[in-house]
Amino acid sequence: MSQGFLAVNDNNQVLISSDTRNLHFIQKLTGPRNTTLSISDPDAGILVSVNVNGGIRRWRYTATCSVTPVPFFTMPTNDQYGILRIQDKGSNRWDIEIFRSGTSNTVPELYIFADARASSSVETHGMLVLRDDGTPSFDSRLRPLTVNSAVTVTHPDNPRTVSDTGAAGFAKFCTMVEADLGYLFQSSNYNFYSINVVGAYPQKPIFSFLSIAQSNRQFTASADESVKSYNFGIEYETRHDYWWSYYWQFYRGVIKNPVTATGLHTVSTDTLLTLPGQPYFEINISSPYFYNKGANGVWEQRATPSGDDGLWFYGLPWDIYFTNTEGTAAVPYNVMLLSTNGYITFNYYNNSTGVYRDLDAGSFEYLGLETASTLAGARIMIYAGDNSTYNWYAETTGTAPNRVYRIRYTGYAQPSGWFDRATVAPNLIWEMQFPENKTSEINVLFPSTINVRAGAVLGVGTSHGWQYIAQEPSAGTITPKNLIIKKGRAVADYQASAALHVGWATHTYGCNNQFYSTAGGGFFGGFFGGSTSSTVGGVWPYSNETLNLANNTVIVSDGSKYD
Amino acid sequence: MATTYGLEVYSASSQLIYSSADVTWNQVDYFTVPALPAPQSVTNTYPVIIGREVLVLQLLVDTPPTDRRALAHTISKETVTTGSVTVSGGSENALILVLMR
Repeated sequence: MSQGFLAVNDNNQVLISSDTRNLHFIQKLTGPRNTTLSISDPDAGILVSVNVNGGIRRWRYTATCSVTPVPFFTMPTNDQYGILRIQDKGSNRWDIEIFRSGTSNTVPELYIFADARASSSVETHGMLVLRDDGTPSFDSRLRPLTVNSAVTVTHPDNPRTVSDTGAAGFAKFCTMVEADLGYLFQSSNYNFYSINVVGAYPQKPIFSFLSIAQSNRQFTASADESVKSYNFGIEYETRHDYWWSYYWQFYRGVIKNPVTATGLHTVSTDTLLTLPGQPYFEINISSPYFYNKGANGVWEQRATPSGDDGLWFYGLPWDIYFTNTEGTAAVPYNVMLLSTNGYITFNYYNNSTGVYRDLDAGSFEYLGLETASTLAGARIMIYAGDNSTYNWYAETTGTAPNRVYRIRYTGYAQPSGWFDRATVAPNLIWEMQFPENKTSEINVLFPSTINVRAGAVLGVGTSHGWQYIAQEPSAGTITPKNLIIKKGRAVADYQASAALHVGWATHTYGCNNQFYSTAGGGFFGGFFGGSTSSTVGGVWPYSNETLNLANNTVIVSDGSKYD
Repeated sequence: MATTYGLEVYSASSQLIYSSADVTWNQVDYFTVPALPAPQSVTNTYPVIIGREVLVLQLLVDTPPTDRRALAHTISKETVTTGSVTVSGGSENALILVLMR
C-alpha cells in the first residue's frame, strides 16, 4: 500500500491493515433462540431433536448484527458439531443453525464475530484504524479476534467404516423408518487432524466450522409374497404382492474435539510451582510433609508429618464454590484436606459454630481408591493410592483480585505397598490452581510425562452438587497435559484436546417405498384346502454416495478471552 | 512481547488487548453467490491478498435439500499476480468469506 496502516506479527502475517477488516467480538449466545416453541414456528430454537440413528440435534440461534457474522462454537459434549446455515432475516437478525450428533441436550455456546462496523464502544482509550472510506478496520476496544489455529480439513468419503448387514422385516411400507437404525446408519468414520497452536492451547477452545460436505447412504429392502388358494386339491396363486422400501440418510460434515486420555492440554513446566530443593528425599517412609510458601516467600513446613492415612487441614485463602449446573445454588468450601493417600477432599468450617458441614469429607480412606468409589465427599483424585504422597505444597501467587491459589502434589503413581522414600523418586506430580477471578474453574496441570495405571480415575466427588467426573486412561504413559475442570460441569467440557476428528453426522433421514400387486397366475399341486403364502426377498444392497466433499477450514480461537 | 520491538495495544485498565505476538485472519470480503451451474462463475479481485495467505470459506444459506444433490461451490484463488478469488459450479446459494493474513 502507498498509504494507510499495516501491522504484521512476528511471522510477517497481517495483524491489522487499513485495507482489510479485523473481526471483532460482537456477542455471546448461550443457547438457542426459543426452546419452548414448536418446530414449525419461525422463532423456534429447537429444530430437530431425535434420539435414533446416533441422535440429531439442530438448533437455531439468533445473533443481532448489522453485517454478516462469523460464528464460533464450543463443543461441550463429546459429539460432532457443525454450523449448518446462516440466514439473514432482516433488521439485523441473523439466524444461525448449528447441528450436532448425539442425544445430549447440552447446547453449545456461540461466539459471534464480525467486522468493526457491527459494534461500537464509548471507551475513550484504545486504538482505531480506519479504512479509506472512513469505516473502521480495527478497534481495540471491541476485542478483536485472535486465532490460535486454522486447519483445512477433508471428510472421509464414506460416513461408515463397517460393512452392514440387514435384517428381515424392513421391506413393507417403511415400517422401520422411525426405529433406531443406528447400527446401519450411524457415522463411524472420520479423518484425524492435529490442531497445532503457537503457545498454549486455548483455555476454552471455540471453533468456526461451516458445514458444507454432504453424503448419503441408503439401502433397499425388498420382499414379495404369494397368496394362494386351493380348490379341489389344486393350489392357485390368486395374487402376488411386491414391496420395496428405500431407507436413506443424509449426512453433513462435522467436527469433533474428542475427549481422550491422551488429548489434554500441553503446558510448559514453568507454569508450575517452583519446588524447594528436595527435602522429601530424606523423609522417612510414611512421613510426607505439607509445605506452605509463607508471606516472606520462604517455604515452610506447615505441620507435623501425619503418617499413614493421615491428612492436613488447610484453610483456603478464599471460598471456592461448586455448582451442579452453572447458575444454580453454589456450595462454598473453605477447607482443604490433603491426604497422605494422594487425594484432596473439601469441607466447610463454620467459624461461628466450630462445626464442619460435611461429615463425609476426610482423607482416611485407603482401599479401592483407584476406583474412586470409596469416598462420597467433594474431592479431587488425580491419582490416589495408599500412602502414595511424597509431599504437598501450597502457595498463593498474584495480587488480589487476580490471585491464584496453587496446590502441588508429588507422589508415586503405582504403589505396591509402601515404598521406600529414600530410594524411589516421585513419578507423579500435578498441580491444581484456583483462579480468584474465575471461580468457575479449577486448573489441573501436569508438568511432564506421568505414569498411570489402568482404572486410575481422575474424579471430582458427587456430594453437595459436585457432578461426578471421571476419566479412566489406559495403562501406560500419557503426555503432558493441562486439564481445566469446570466446576459442576462434565470434565469433558474442558478436556479439549489438540485433536480434531472430521467426520459426518446425520442431518436427516427417511424412507420411500413402493408396493404393487399382480393378479395370480399358475397353479401348484397340493392336497389340502385353504390358502397359504410365502415371502421371498430381503435383498439388501447398501450404497454410499458422497454428494460433496468440498474442503473447508476449521478456525480455532480461545473463548475465555471473550467471556 | 517476546521481542524488543513490535506493537502492543492496551485497554484503559492496562489489559493487553492485542500485540504483534498474536495471530489473526482478517476479513477481506464476505459476499453472497447464487447457484452457479457451469460454466457460470463469479470472480472478485483483491490486490491486498497478493503475496498473502488466503482462506476462502463458504457456507450454504438454505436448508439442505433431501430430494436432489446439493453441490458446494468450487473455489480457486490466485495470490501471486492478480489477487483473485473465483467461485463456480455450486448448486446452492452460499456465503463466501475471504480471509487473509
